[in-house]
Amino acid sequence: MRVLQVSEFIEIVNGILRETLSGEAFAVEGEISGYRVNQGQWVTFDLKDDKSLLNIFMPLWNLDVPLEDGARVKVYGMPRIYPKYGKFSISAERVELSGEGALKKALAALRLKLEKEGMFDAARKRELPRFPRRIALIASRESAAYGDFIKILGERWGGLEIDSYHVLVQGQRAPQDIVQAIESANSHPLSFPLGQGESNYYDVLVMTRGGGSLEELMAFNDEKVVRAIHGSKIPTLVAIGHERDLTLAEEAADVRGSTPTDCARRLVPDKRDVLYELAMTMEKIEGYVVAELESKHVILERAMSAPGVWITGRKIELEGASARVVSSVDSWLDQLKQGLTGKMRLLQSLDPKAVLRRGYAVVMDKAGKAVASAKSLKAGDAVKLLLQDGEVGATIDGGETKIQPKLL
Amino acid sequence: MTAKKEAKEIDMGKGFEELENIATWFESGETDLDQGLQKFERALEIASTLKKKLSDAENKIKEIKKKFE
Repeated sequence: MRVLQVSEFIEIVNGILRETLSGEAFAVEGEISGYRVNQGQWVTFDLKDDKSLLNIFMPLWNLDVPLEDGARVKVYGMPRIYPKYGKFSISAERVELSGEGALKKALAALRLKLEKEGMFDAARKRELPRFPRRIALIASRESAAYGDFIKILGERWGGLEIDSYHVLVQGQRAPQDIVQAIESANSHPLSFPLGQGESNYYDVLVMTRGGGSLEELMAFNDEKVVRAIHGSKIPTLVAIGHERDLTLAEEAADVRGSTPTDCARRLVPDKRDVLYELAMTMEKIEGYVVAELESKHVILERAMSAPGVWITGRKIELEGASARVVSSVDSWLDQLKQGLTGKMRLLQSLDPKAVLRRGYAVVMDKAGKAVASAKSLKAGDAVKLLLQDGEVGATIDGGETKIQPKLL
Repeated sequence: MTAKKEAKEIDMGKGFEELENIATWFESGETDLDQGLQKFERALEIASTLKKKLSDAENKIKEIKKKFE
């Protein structure tokens, strides 16, 4: 017979358990009761089914899902007897909520509850300043997300003052870590030189981490974290995981980035764009100044040339007036000439000689006076007949005298 | 240095705002030439400061060491 010391015995039993069970992966499923966290770092609970009970022990940092009594879980880990108390338990490495989509269901319920409280209201979301300067960055310093964020930020913008709050981004302690960082950033007295009228707080609070499984991102679905983001005095920009991951912390943030890289893009503009805009604005202003100067120049030139223009105008008026005078004199002379010609024609028509040429004769008495009436002549009177080419003497022969009666 | 002094004098956001205001002033068809030239000079000053700020500055990162209590 072999006599074993207590320690030896327990060591052998534990060894057998290890060898037997390490061959294949297994999990123990059951319902939680008596859930406790001791000294802020050790989790203990009982895992039960209808007939049996198993003690579970695990470090708090191995836990990344919310647990409570009554929850059904799968526990992964090694069973052993704890030598000091002789107690049999599973030392758990990981605990999963069990049942199809149990975690998702819990998350959906929390989302609904917080939504009803108005935690995600679009109306209360603040805009980020266009040119932030002082940034509180909450991330894991070792993460790729941190590196990506800083790198893209450097490519796009300069002159930022970034305070990095290093936090755990997964595991049971992560939510507490993150909440403390948010609160700390919100009450942090800034050491940067303040510009005029600048507040004593950060311009933006940024929180980011890279992609992961739903379990790994659970810290950002933690109710306390969501409330802390919602309550931040500093405007918040949160980008967790990949494009498709949407955590409650992101929904509660003022602005959500889809990835750490997108987060940097949403935080600052690209300086190339801003330089371009700057150039365009200056071009516009310069254009106005040049146009203004040109218009003043035109006004000046007009003023300078005005007297000359006036004189030219008067000259033209004068020329016009004199031309009008000349032409009116001309037409007056023409009229005069025409009048004269008319009168001469009239005079010509009155010339008695013109009548003589047509065969008429003028009868004149001895005295050479024209005889106009038959009554003034009697037989034997000597007369002279005046014809177109000369005179001839004649005597009245005393033939019958007819006196034409006057008609009127 | 002067860059730091300038950075203090003209904040990026305020600088841009002032520049926009100047552009708007010109757009409104103001005709005071002296005032216009003065504003133009100010715009040039702001633009060159902002440009310098954008081109020169680097981002400074500081670790917040204490485990925030």
